[in-house]
Amino acid sequence: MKTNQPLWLLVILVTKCLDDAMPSLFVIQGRDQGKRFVLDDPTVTLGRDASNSVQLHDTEVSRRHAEIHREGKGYRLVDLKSSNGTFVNSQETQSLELKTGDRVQIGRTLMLFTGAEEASSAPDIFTGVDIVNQIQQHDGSRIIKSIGQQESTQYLASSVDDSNSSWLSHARSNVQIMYRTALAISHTLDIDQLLHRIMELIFDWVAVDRGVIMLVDEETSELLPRVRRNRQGVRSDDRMMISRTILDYVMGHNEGVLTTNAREDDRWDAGGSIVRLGVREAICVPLQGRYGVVGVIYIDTYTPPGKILQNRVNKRLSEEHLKMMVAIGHQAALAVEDTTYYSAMVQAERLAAIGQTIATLSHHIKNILQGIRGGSFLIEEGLKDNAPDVVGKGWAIVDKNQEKISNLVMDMLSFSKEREPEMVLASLNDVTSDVIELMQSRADECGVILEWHPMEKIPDLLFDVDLLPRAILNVLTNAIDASEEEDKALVKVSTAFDSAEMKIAIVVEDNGPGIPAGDLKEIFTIFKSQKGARGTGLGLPVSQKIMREHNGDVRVDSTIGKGSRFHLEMPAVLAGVTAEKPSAADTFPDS
Amino acid sequence: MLTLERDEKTRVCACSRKEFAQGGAVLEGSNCPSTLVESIMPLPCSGSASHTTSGLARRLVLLVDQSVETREVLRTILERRGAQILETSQAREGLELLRTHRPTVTVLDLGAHDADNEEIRDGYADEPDTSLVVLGMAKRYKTQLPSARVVQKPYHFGPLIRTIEALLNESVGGRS
Repeated sequence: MKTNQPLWLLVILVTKCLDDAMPSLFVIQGRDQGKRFVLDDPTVTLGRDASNSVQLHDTEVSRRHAEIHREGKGYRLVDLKSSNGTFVNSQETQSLELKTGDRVQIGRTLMLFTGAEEASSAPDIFTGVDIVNQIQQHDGSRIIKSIGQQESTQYLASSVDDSNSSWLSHARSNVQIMYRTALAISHTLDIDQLLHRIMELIFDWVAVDRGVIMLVDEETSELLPRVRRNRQGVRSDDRMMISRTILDYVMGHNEGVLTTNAREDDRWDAGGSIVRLGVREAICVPLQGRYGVVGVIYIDTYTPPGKILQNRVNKRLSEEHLKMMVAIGHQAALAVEDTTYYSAMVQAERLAAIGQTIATLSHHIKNILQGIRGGSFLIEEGLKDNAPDVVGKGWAIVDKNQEKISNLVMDMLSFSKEREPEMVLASLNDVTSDVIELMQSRADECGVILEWHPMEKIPDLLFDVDLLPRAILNVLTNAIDASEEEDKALVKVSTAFDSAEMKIAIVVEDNGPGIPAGDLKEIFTIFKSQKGARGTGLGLPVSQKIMREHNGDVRVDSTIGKGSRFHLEMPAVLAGVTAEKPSAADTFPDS
Repeated sequence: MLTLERDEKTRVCACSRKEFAQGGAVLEGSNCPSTLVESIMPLPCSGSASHTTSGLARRLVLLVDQSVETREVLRTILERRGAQILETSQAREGLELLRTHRPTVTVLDLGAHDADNEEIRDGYADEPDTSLVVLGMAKRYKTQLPSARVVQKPYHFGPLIRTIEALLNESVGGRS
């Protein structure tokens, strides 16, 4: 049966892209699901013990279970005489060279291996395919029939008169159910929703009374019900009891089973539970995925124990149903696996993002803390030695770091909150001027000349008087930092008002080294600072966010060796006039 | 005359003309401008250390740290305690200063610009005439240097300065 390839390929693709093609193991099943281990040492050990490079929290993994050795450009997996063995693509192995996409299973942990990216040796496909003009190439092809997706869908779903052929009728019905299953699993990434759809399909297709889909719990390996459904008229408050005998058989043998009369089926004699529970017909199929059984689908027609002997009910479940259920089970299992791995990937990405955020913020806070400690130390030493100049130096450092932490916190708050600007009527020039005044001492300290060129006669406008100054401040700070190494470091700030277009702009221009084209794309990416340890990577993203909240944007022109010009642009909103929707594409002409 | 290429903001300042650097370099300067980002600052006249070439050289500390504040704190305190300071924010330039002036103690911040370059790190580790103190954590230094000379951030300045002073004193006491 065809697998749900695109999602699976996406998992591999995302896994591959995560760390610049560093070889890695991504845990797709087991307690450590979602973790990704980069194989950056020549030898990587895998095991339960904390001393391993890859520590797996899995009781079925040996303390030192296996090793992966780098061999040239490849990687070899070697089992270290583990108790439960090492498997690659379901085959036990002692030593094997790994290939990208290999599934490594140790204990109950399943990992996907991704090797180092290599240049493809395949021929360039672009050279072998030409899209040609039909007339030029004298191509006589013509369209004789076209069919859209809707028509195709109708064909599979329509009830064509198949009364002449029961075989055709069955075949069409089967194709329909498989088609609908394929549709069901392709439209969701939520496992419960997916299972509900599968169960609905089954109930639409076959007349059963009860059904349940159970999935294997990764922690306990027990089957846990995830979806249950009763046919209308069947009491839904009854506890549904399922024969463990059936479940064990299906899970153990990895086979679907059909029972039409439990008492006559030899396989259930030992348990006898079906008779006790009153099941007359049941189908139970494994959810067989790529890497194992992820659960079961169980459906039955129920007759209470007292009525089993009295009622003569025609068979409602057949081998045909069983075959189809096995197929549906397999399809569903693939979707469950994909959905699970997709969730694991999302979770891993989320954890990685949280980790990166914490690491970046910790780094900045650590630097600020270091500064405060240094300042405090100078104050302490100055007081001890009665040296006011040392105390003064210390206090200046403490003060500066106080400002740094305040800015960091404000930027974090600005970035984390989705908010509507509180529009207040104010003067753009006054607000910009205040920011420049605030930054003057920093500019002086860095040997940067600050020039202020306000446009005259800008009317008072509506904007957030807390947010906009922060947007300007961050861009201005950036400009000062960028130009401070220059001999005649200069930063110009100007304002502009376009009454025809009803737009305003604050332009900050520096004569720093300029931003390489490749870096321009990243300057608004959070935590991607071009300033090394001095930058938080928050300033410009916050400025951009604030401008966008004002229905505007930040535009940058930069020339290497000459400097950069940041345009903070937004619609000019006068008092009593409703702001128009953003139009970032409409910008001021370059000044 | 000492010339430092490539970085015009690395300057020399001294209370008076003094020869203190090795290799025949003479530092010449005037009062230290407060806006200098990097400076080479010999001991103020009020300092207690001897101004002989050898004596000064033994109490010479090179600070390689990206943080202006950290350099200012260390410079202020160490100068008050009779040391002379060479400083830069860049590891590559620091290595040049190290090779030219052979300071007694070198404080290298692993966060300094270029300090992640293996070749440059090797350069610092291979200089026998200086006692290296590393700020930040790198496996190699952890095994190569005594623990007091590998200082993890954030650190307290008191113990760091005591370590630097101890190394300076060891040097005065005859250690190379």
